[in-house]
Amino acid sequence: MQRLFLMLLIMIFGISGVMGCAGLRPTDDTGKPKITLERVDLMRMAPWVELPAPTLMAMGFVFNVDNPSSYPIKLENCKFSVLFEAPGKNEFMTISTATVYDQIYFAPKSVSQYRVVEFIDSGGVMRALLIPNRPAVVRLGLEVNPLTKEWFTKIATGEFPFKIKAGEGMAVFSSEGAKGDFFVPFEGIFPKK
Amino acid sequence: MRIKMVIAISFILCFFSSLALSQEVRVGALQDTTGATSDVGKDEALGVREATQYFNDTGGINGKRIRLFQYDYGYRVPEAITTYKRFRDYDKVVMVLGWGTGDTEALSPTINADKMPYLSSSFSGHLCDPKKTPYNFVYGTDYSTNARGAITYWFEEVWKKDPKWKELRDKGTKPKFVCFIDTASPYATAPIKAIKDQATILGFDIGPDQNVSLFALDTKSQVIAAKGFGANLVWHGNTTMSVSAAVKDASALGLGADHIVNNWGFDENLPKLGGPAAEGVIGLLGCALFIDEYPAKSRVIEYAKKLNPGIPLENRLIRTVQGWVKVGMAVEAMKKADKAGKLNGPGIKDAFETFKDWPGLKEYGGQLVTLTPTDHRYSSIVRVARVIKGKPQTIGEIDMKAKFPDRWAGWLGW
Repeated sequence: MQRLFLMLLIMIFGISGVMGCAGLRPTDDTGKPKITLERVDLMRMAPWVELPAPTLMAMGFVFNVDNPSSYPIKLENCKFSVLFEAPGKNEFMTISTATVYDQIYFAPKSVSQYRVVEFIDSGGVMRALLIPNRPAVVRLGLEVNPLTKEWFTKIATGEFPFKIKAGEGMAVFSSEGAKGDFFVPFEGIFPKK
Repeated sequence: MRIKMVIAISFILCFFSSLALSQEVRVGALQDTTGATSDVGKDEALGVREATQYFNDTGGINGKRIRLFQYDYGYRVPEAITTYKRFRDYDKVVMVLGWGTGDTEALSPTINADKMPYLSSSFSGHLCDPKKTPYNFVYGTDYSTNARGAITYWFEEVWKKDPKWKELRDKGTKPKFVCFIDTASPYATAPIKAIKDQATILGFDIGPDQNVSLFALDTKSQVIAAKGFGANLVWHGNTTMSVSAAVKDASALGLGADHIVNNWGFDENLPKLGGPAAEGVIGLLGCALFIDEYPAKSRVIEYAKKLNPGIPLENRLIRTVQGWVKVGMAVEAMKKADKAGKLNGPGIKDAFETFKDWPGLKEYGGQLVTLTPTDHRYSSIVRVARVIKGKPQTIGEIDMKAKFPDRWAGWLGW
């Protein structure tokens, strides 16, 4: 009877281990994942149309996801604010919030690239300047419509003549039982110079 | 034989334990972080995300993890409708945490047909009558009750007592009242019928509505029109940005009226943006300010730091706390539904309708919540505050059900 009980225990632990964990249990803790902004791509750009008609652009934010641990991690969700620099003011305006719910795995001890595509329209940018950015707009004496047009027409050259920031970023990774969840704050500016 | 049995039992045990671990409860959240109400919506969205994480860290829905799908719809009704369909058909959520009045009211027939519980940040009184909107719920005193309560409070505590109005009182003058609202915004217009009804009950003289856009930077023409009418009291039905512009213009042009602001226009930012012009402005609060003292404050701050370390705490608003209130109420209903073995639309609706003086929101400075199958008004208590020394501070509460017992039932759905 004792043998039976022992076997039962061993099997429960053994099978739970196999079923409960994705990959091997870590033998070392080499730290949390890290996210850095590699670059911003202009994925799509419509010709400029005067406001209030909307002009659409799509931006690809390419991040480096560094998983230094010895187990795979799963991205549960990720969000960040997209900020454009007010030219000549050295200050950023929040334009939109990118949120993704892709569930993808990042291999152990590797750096992978992950791209988030965010669609931005000029009407939304104008409204974002008028409401959440209003204190800064008033303080800096910015004109909302000309600034929106400047951003959309200048970026269409592909030169990125103003800085773009991915700010207030937070990615939630799951180690699926190995080490719990990881909350990874991040932010980055492109171009870096 | 015995070994085979042991193996079989082990597999069954492990299968069920793995199943329990992998179970999740899917919840959709519609947010405005970039649109016309993003001055208040962005902070609320942060609170919703942080509160969800807290509840997951403390056991979720009876052990089931909440998986939150949170999308910005920019306060555009068509995007809200497509996002809702995504929630329903693709994300397969059990309930939705909604946002604005326009989209919540537009979606109401659909969500009720789908039997999808919908807890919105719109506290429109139109959403509180279960005969018409059985699956709609709100997490604050509804706009109409709030508006009625606010002007009743002003009439009794300010108009009848404040030396500022003594001369007019002594002459027997009726208080003159106007509304500053975005007439194209369902949020701003939702309580107007109720507030004018209350103004009539109290014997006010009602002037023409002044149309103030949610995006307004300049409201001088509206202030001049109100001054021409001789307004003593202005109701501001918009959100903080345009309310601050109107309050500043009213001060600059010497309107001389008192101001009452609906709850989404009254927060820590109002005195920051309105400056001295905001001093003395009266408004409505649904819960504690972020900077107030309340029992759950330490956890609210802990999760703000943990999940959004890039956002300075001094920029946080009451809206973060409102996000916690919203999630807290939803979690309680889902837990009850799950315990009853009905974690689905009708089960969550039934669970909400069992709330009887539920005290859970007291931790966040909210009210006791009572919901019934015939009345979805969250509370009859109206919490009135005033900007004093640059900070919104509670000055009183008024129980509209107790004060107007004969009229209370008839106000359902206004």
